Amino acid sequence: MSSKPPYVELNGISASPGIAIGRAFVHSKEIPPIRRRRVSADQVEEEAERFLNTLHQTAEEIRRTRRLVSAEHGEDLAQIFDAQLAMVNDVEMKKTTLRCIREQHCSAERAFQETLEQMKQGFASIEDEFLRQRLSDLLDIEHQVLLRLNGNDIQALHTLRANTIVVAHDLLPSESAQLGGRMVKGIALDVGGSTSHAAIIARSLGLPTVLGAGKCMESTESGDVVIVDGNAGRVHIRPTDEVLRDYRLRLRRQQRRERDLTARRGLPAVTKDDHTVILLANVDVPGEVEIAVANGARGVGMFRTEYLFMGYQLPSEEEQVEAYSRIVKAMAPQPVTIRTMDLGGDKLAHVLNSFSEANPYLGWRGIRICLDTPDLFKTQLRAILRAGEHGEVRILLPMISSLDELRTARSLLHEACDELLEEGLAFQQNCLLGVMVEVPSVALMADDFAQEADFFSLGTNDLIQYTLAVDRGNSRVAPLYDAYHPAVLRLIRQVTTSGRAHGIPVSVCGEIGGDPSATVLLLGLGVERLSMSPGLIPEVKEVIRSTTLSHAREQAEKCLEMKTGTEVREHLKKGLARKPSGERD
Amino acid sequence: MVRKKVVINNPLGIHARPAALVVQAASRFTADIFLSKGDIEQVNGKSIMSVMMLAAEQGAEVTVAAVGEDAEEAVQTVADLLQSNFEGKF
Repeated sequence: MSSKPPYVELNGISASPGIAIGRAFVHSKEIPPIRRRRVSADQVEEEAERFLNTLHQTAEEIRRTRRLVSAEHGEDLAQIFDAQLAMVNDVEMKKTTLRCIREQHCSAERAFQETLEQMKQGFASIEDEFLRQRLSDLLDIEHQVLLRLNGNDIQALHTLRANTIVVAHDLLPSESAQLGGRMVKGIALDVGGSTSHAAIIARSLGLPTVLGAGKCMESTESGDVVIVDGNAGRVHIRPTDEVLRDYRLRLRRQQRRERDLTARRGLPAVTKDDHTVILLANVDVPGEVEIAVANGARGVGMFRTEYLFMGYQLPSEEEQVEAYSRIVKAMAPQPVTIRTMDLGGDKLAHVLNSFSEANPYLGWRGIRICLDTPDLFKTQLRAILRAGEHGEVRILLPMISSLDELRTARSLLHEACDELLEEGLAFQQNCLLGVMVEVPSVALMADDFAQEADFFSLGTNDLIQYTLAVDRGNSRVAPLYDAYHPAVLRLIRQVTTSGRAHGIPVSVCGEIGGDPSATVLLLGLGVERLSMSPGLIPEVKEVIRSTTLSHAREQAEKCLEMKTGTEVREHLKKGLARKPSGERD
Repeated sequence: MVRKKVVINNPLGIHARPAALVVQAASRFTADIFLSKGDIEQVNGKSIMSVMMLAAEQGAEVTVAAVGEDAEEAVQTVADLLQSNFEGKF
């Protein structure tokens, strides 16, 4: 009897769409058991030497990774590794470990582990949340050094073989950033949500990814065949022949469709009754701009700047100018909307998050942090304005809940302009200042906000979450998170109506903006701009080109009158089957 | 031993990046450099882990001490850095 483990199917969250089939590489962070071994007196120096050599190798490896990440993702992301490098070279750590080897005749493994144990305890007792976060760097180093001392080969994430599916419990941002090579086809993680750093990077790399799949790592052995279904959020481990055949077919269909869409990506986003929809790109890391341009984006609808603030240090004004300018230049003359730092909530604000909150989503985040740290905020505003000299920038404020915040932000923007003018630096004058509509108070007062804001961007992910009081990262209540809830649709409608009345543009930049099955409804609700992950543009454009605005409006009117999200979804499903007739084909 | 007491000015305290800068500066001297804060006594100013574990927040009083040939200059340099806003450096 063969004892091959059985086929396992796991459900998770779809973090990046597409299907990938490959062999698993299980990225384990388990520390190998340390043998209790005494070193004889005449071997002590040899043991010390072995320890120092290993540290040296580890430092070299970190430097290599840093170079790789810097080349592929830019210097900002690469700086994550500076902390690890500094730690691996720490004099106290070396001294204590060497003393333990030389005086107590401990093996290098034990000496190092005991030293780190003391340091970990020291770190855990630090009250500062940000500093405590560095513990993860310490654990990472511990793992790398111990594996090397043990003689294990470390298969680094960037030395993988072709057609690999990376399976892990979780990935550090630094680890996700190494997956950019051609070898990795998909990612499956035990934990994580669709807004985690791993998800963001996976999307920007176009890697099918499922997160929060539970027991991925424990169910998989390196070398197993794994299917990542990023469309349905499912992971198949050691699939049966039947499942595998089915997915190979789907994969071929997906590849064919991608080729078709690539061929058609130059076509305009116009409905059959000649209404143009402006398709924009959401950008997380600068590398995505190329895809945006290739797919015909009419600008960047939202550039998330958080990645700049998640590293080891706060970015200087110059560093920010450089990062923003890269995108503005690549996109010029199309405008780039830059969202000011939206830290807090689920984002790892290492640098700022000085205490943990019982209710982070209702806590210190977005514009609240910006206005409480005006120096930091103004530095970002100045950097954005200066980048504007290479094209056109617009500024988008996250988490606005009252007009006071918009007014304060505007006066800080004026201050920034005055300063730049006085200093004689080149910058863009008359920069538009827009508001993210993600707190229901703003949607309800859209008429008032429209008189003071230059544009609206509907952040539907948070708007849905706050309107329905559902944390979608919490699996028990996640099914209640319903983008098609009539309350959400009515709020969207209220915002587009106010926008039109006051002549300011309204876009949708939440996930629903890039969901082809929601496109018709959004058009019908009066949304004229959709901003999405750049890879999704061709699909959405296909939907726009096959519908009419009059049909979309009809659909939306019906949906607005419905009582539940289920009714809306069922209605839309029927509507999709029934294609509208049009003047142009 | 040369000593100097300083108050941390940086609004975010001595987090990882400033700590790295302090260690970098300290490592250029031959003198042994120690930092202490409240009941945390004399940690090695050339060790990033030690400086980070000092967890010196804004307003904290930190004593810089040094022993060795260039102790005077070392204390001055590290003290100046600790008091600064680390401006232009992060």
